[in-house]
Amino acid sequence: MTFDAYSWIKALHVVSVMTFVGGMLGVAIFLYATDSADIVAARRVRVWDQRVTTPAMLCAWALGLWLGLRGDWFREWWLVGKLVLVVALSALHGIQSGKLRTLAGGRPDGRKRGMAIPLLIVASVAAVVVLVIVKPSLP
Amino acid sequence: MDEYHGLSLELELEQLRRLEVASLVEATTLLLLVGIAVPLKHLAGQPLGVSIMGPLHGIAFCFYLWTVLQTTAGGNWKRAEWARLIVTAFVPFAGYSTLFLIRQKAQALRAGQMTSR
Repeated sequence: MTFDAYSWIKALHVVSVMTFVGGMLGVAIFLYATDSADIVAARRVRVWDQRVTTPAMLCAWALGLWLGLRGDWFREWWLVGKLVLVVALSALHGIQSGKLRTLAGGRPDGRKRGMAIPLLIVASVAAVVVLVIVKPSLP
Repeated sequence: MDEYHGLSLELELEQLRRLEVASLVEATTLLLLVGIAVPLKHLAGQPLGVSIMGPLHGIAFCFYLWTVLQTTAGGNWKRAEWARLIVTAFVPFAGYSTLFLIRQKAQALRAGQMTSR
């Protein structure tokens, strides 16, 4: 039996992505559902965000970069499309994380309540999965 | 600034320290890439440095931009300060100048806390 590093790194990448997306969706739903006065809950969610979700995001970036370079995927347009979505999702996570800090510090965060952000995350993840699994080619 | 008190101030200062580290790592990896690895590749035919420092700087750069978003999304930052944080990430050595901006910001937060007591 030979050790297939590519498959192992790919599996770890998928685990990191699942952890990242799960944590991000959790924060989005928390920001949608919670009251500004719920500082204790905000602090607890923030601990998870800092200790699990953010490291998972960094692992997903690093392992994804390794897979892209090793598999020579960076010339494929579907990967470029996926990267645009990943950058947008990561940026959204950064903004959410900042709002969570505001909430945990007991300051007014100026949130606009709505399900748009959680839905946007689900739609972006669905698009990423389609691009990676189907690998559509340009006509 | 006077809205920062107690835990809120502590969290902001902690975040500014995180931004300082991310900025330092980003500026240093850019300097190593542009100042050592790229000349080694083009002048001495040694591409190893670029193949190591390129991806490393890529991750450091993305993490720095992510930390800028995280910091500015939860704090009082002017657009000009935000733009300075972003633009300096692209210029060798300029990234170190953001350390002064971040320290000024931390001092202003502490000063606001002192005057509001």
